[in-house]
Amino acid sequence: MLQSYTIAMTFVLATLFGAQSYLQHVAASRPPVGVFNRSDVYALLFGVVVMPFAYLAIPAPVAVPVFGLVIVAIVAVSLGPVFGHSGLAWLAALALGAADLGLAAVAGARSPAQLVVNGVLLCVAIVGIANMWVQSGMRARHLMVVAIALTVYDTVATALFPITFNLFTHLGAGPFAPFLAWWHLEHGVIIGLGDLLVATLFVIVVDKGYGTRAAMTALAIVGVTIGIMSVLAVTDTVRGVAPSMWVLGPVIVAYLYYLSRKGRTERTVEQHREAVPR
Amino acid sequence: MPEAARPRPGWRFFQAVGCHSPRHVGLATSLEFGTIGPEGGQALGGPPLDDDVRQKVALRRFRSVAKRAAERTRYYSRLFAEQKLDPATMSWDDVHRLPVTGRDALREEPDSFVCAGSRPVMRAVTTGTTGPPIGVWYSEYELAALTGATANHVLLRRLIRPGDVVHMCISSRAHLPIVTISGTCFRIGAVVQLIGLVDPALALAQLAERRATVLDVYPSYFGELVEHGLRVGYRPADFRLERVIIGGEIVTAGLLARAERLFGAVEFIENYASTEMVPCGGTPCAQGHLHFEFSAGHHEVVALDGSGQAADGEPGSLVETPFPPYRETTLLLRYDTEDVVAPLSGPFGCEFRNLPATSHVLGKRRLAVRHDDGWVFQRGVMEALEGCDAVPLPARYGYRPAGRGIALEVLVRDDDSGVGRAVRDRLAAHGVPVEELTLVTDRARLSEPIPVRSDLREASFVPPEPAVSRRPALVASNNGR
Repeated sequence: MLQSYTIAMTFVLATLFGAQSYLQHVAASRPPVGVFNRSDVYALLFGVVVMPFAYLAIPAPVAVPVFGLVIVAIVAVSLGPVFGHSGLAWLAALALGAADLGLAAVAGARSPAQLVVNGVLLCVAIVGIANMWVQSGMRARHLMVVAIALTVYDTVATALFPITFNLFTHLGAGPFAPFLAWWHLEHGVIIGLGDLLVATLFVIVVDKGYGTRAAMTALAIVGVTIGIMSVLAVTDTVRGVAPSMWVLGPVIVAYLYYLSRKGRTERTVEQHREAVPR
Repeated sequence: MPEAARPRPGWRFFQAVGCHSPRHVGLATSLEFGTIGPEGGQALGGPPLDDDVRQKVALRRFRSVAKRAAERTRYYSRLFAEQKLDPATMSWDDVHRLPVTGRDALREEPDSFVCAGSRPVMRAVTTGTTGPPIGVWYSEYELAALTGATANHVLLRRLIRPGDVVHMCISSRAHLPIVTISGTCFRIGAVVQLIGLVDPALALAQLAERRATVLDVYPSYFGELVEHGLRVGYRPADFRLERVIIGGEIVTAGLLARAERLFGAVEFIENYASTEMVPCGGTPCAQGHLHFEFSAGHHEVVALDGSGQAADGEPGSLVETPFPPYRETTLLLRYDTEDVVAPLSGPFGCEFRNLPATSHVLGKRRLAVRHDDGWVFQRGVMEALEGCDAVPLPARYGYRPAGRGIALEVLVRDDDSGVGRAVRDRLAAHGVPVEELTLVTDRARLSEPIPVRSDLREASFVPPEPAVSRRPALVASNNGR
């Protein structure tokens, strides 16, 4: 029980700190003309809402490779600026993808080695995609819309209907599972990809817009929130799949609203880079 | 009088969704990142075109605006009928056969140039330093589009940045630049104050007190500020000025050099634009060319004798045709700006090497004087005079043809023989043949001074501060407010 909890939380904190470090030290690629705007929010929400249905509608032997390819590509793009060489980044991403696939086949889909590799893939992908959006100009108001919309969506997909549960069942038994999980005996902790992505976005949107001190508070808020929810899950206080956005969403919106009401102007990407030179 | 403005449903929709011009994406990008990405220039302005393609595109666009003008404006429907030209099939020869549109025609019957079916909301007038003011109608769409384009241009060139404090020392009647620059500042996140052409003492006090970072100013009024500031003892440390956007008249090297004594090492950004021709402005490059964005309109230089297109390096009158989508109300074809420039052919080695270029504006055509060895233009005279410390800024002068050159009268501080010699030497160095030189120390004694925009002085109830107690007066003024 403690092992599952500790390892899952290690992945969560590694993702949050990794995303913040990436923001401060790595320049993610951005389009030469264009800035993250409402259309991107709509596209993001469309993807989040539609993708589970798409995955559920297509057989796992097709869905798993598709998700695998997408995640490997995201990891490669994310690692490109870190390695300074896209070929090397693709090599690393493909190696991780192959390891996930191979370990699932050899050691089993819930083996510790496969879960670690899958967790690393997801963490890197989340760090990369969150940074790509935030370094493309994602702002607090965009994240507030995303958080509110996903809270509503989580209510429908997790609390009212078993869509999330079915997704976990459908994709959870193979490689490239779209959630962070750790199992020890009968005790497991599962954190959905979307929830971790929103939490990561929260930390780095706050860092970009309001500075490191506010980001540390944001990190503490989501860290504690996810930690408490994981404790509830691991101790079976909450059974089944819990809609974590019920807690995360309001907390994120409340803190962003508080920051905006403090009278501080949210920084642009340029202002953030001036304040935190690489 | 054009018909009254009515709401335009399509435009309202595009305004609401914030995507009325793809160029505004560039503005948003610049605001967020400080600049567009390395490949962004091409994404916004299109790829660099060779001359042939550029000519084809320009002819197609010229035909389009000519067809609209012939069908929907009284002036051009009459002109095309008289010339028996079909605007839809015009060749470049036909375009050059079309008589240029003079300033007088627009001045006398401005409504004949307004497109039927357009919805004008604002009549912008010229300042009138070169004759009675000319009125040009603009629609709500045009004002928004021009503001967006200006904001994009200003931000891409980093002329105004978020957080800047912008002071506009231009005529309060210069409605169009006030609307577009103010709108630009709102969009960028800069604050703007229209100072107008008030007493230089007041304008300088505001510049210092409000810690302005950007000054938008006419050269002649800037000269007044420099002259007054140096006289009363202002120093660079009194200001926080970073950039001076200057245009509307000839800008001389002497003016900028003297301005540096007052404001320190500020960046001077020259521009060339006019109320009638927006957005067909010119952008000077570091190598002294004046470049024109060919997507904004068609630019030609017509020989001063009207015999056709001016050859490379030959002075001629700048003739422009603004293209849609920025112009849809007052349509102008081959409008003669009466500004003299010399066309230049590339290749250019400057930052705007893909854009057509001319020399800097040499002066107004009506002030050009022909002599045996060439021409005398305002620029040569002004460069010589404003580079001479004995001549107060802005240079006040007048000239007329005389013998093999000009007879020149100049306002100077002292009229001793040393000053006369210095002025003559500088004029000779700039190739200005002076047959007669008259120096006066009283401005009222100039018989035919050339008008400048700083003469459009605006009154104020606040008395200028006395020069002798400038610094304490500033403090008192701060406390008083």
